Amino acid sequence: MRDPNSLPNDYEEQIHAAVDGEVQPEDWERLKGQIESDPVAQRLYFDLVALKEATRKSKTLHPEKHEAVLAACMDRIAEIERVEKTDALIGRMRYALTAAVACLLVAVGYYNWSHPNQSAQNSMLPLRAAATGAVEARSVNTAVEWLSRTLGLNVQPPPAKPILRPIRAEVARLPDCNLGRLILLDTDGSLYTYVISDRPLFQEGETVGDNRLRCIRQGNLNILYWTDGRFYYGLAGQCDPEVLVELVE
Amino acid sequence: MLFKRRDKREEFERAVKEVFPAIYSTALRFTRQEEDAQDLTQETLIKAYQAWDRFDGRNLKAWLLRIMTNTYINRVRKQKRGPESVSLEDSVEATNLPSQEAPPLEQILERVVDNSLEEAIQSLPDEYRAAIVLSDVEGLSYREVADALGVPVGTVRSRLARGRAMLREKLLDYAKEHGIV
Repeated sequence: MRDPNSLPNDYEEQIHAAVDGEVQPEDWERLKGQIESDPVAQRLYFDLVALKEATRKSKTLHPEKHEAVLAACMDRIAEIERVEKTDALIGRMRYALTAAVACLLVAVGYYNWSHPNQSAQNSMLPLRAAATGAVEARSVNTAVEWLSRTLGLNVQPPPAKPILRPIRAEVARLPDCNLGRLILLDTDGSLYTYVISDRPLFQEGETVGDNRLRCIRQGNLNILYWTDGRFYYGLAGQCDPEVLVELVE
Repeated sequence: MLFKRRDKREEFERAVKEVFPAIYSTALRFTRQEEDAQDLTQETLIKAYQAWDRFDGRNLKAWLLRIMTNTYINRVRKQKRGPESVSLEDSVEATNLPSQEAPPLEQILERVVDNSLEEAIQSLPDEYRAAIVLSDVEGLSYREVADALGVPVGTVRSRLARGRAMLREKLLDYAKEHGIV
């Protein structure tokens, strides 16, 4: 025998569906007859009608903030579009850059060959890092996460000032090291490259634990580099070394 | 190209403006925090804008609410680290019908103050709150709610039944506490 205060689940759900106008007309006719003859079902039906009506009238929350929130959303969308445009530009420039880097590689190779005493001080890694086809990461943090996973260690994101905004993240595997690469944009629209590696980046014989900032120049590019004893970092930009030093906290 | 983008943005903003109260109110009801609601709204609109060319033009509010619900579910999953422990799952609690001695809900609803129904909705567990907000507050059909939540229509029916039962109980408790019944 049925508990006088309960209904079978399916029957109860049908009553809810009836209140929501989600039953077929022929089912509604049958259900209506049942509801009329069953006080428990009838009570549920009328309670649900009242509840639904009250819920439907629920007011809009915080209407005074709608305009500002929508405006903030649209600003963000516009900003994303600007970054995408810059991204597309970088993508188009990549081929030209690759060709330029290839020429530079030949030139540096020739220089090292003709100046054997200095070759040990000028590792080719930064150039190879720039030239290597990289895998584009889906988010800015992915390069750092990827490198962390690859090395099984906790690699930190760039310790740069907030004016540098990451707009692209890439990861690359070189034969003798793994690289995470972030393209950063400052408020003036200047681009910087931040590189993280598990091997010395720029000069042979870097001493592990020696965390002094050093700088080398390649063409019109200055590259600041340092190590924290576990990883090797570089920040490159077409600006004076002092500017780079200032950017790194 | 630049003008084309601006036109698209303006068209999008014009269309969204009309349904924005529903979108932002739903975000507030989902997250219960203003800051989180603003984040959720922003993420929803960014996704919608990126997919704007694929929108079929039929029911913008339902489309945006579907994107928002998906986004919210994914956020909850991430916060709880892994789909196994997601709260947007069905519980096995049975619903309790009101005793026949309790006054009809209509009488209680006539006498409760404005915020108590809103508070009762916001105190529901995620899965029931989402179903009730989408169906009862925003007027989506079962099919649209099911699409938004990524569950079968049958699950929507049972979530609504359980959610409303909880809501009725909360309102009845409120009425008892405040001497309404």
